[in-house]
Amino acid sequence: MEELARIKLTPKERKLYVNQLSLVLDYVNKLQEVDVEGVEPTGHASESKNVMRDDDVIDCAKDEVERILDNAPEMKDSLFKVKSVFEKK
Amino acid sequence: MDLNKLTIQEANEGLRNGNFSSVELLKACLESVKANEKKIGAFLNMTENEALEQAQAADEKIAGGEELGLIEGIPIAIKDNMLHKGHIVTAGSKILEDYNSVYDATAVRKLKEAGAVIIGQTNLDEFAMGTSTENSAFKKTKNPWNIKCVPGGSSGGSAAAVSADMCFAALGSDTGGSVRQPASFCGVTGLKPTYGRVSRYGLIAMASSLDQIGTIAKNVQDAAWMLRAIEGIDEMDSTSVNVEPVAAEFPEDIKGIKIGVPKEFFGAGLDSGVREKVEFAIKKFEGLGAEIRELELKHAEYALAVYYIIMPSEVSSNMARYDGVRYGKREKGKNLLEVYMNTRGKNLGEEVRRRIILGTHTLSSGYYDAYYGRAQKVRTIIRNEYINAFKEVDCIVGPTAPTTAFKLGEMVDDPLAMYLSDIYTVSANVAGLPGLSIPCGFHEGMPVGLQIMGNYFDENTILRVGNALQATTEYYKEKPEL
Repeated sequence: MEELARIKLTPKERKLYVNQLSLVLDYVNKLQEVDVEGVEPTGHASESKNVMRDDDVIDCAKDEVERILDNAPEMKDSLFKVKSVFEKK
Repeated sequence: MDLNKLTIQEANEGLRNGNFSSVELLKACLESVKANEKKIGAFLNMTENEALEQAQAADEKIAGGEELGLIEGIPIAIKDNMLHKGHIVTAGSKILEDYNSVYDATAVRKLKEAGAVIIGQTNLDEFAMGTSTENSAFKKTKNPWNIKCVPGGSSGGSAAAVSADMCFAALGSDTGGSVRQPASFCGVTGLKPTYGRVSRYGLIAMASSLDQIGTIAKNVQDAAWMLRAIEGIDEMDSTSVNVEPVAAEFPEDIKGIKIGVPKEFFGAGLDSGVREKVEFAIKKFEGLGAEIRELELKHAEYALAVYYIIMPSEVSSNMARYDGVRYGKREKGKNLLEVYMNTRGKNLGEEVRRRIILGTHTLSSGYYDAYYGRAQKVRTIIRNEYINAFKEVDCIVGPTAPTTAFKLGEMVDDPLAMYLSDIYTVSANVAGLPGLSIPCGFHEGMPVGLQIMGNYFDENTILRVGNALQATTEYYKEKPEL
């Protein structure tokens, strides 16, 4: 789960979470007693429908662009810098 | 006269009549912040310089004889999970400690356009995940009624700031009760609108199908005036809806209004002191001519379980954006995977990580149908149960929370017990309904909240019913001794 969630835990936290999450899962398991035969799932609280807009380019103000870039942890030539995604074997 | 103790309505009248200025209102609030903030810890960031400019602009407008809006010139706080252009907005998390907002959230932009004076950003549980505000990475907020107690959460800073008269009203966000429960704990009024009434654009997302921005104020009318300023359809949030604005005034007469009382809201786990005050309020409604009807909501007991599957599932997907690439903190690692794992392991707090891991589990391929799929179906059943109930009654009342404010530290090691604090409030989020919490008395010196839930987009009825009770009991006028 840690790797799927991309979160590194300490051994102590791992033990704590296992205990706490089993309690929570025991609690939510009460849903198993509800008869859901033929019931449609609800994904959203409002009656959702697709909302479309024209596929136009909307300009971003210069100060906003600067602020976006300023928020990045690491940059190179106005691009976000990250470790290589594919590693050499 | 302590100007900061006025309601918005009283302050608005005073501004119109030239009894005092907006700058004076702001100064009175800042005095209260100066005197009490050390003890209460409601704010993460004060924006007093900008606030002063906004107050001066309002005063110029008044001097020029221009028509004044309902919340124009009124000092207001916002929860620190709403983007506020040019200011650091942290969502109470270390991972966003240095995050500088690129734009204004729609609700914040609308407050500014309405002429509000934004005095600062309030403390919250990290990413709004919690019911006590103890999960903030920066500080613990105390309850103004008893500083050994929590203010509730996650909008604990907003509720405490309003309760301590540090501002006239505040914005909060409510995913499972985060506006109503802290309002209840701090003896103020909290309104969670129908899902879709207020745009979520610029609200740092927690669980997108449940999140809704709400208002925390000193009384019902003020909560409604705040909502009028921020509601409305927004092209930046496709789930926002175009509906009639809420009313600005409410008739005090509630004769013939049908009030449903579900027995499921008065079961085991409800504190007897809270029960007594809520039952007293129901008697008052009866005395005011409302028709009280007992109601059966058979599936209400499953709402919290549905919530604790759907919410962490959505959390786990929303929180994927904190990867240390485009914004937020980044930790070192020998490859990209390690960078992700270290960044998130180190900079997200305990509760946030717990919910991401829970949600990752409930969405994982072997468990999706048993957890997420089933929870979505039970969500339909709960929603239909409320739709049917509102064919019989105009609103539904019960306690906002099962207890009054608990002590700091009392529940930090027991997440499930902490989650149970939301048992009566989550239904409104699961079904998408509006809910209002108003003070209905005190138990052992701590405020008790009454929850009034209404039909979709029928905020007017719950505000009217709340206003009628408030007019006869006046609990909202009680102030904590600071």
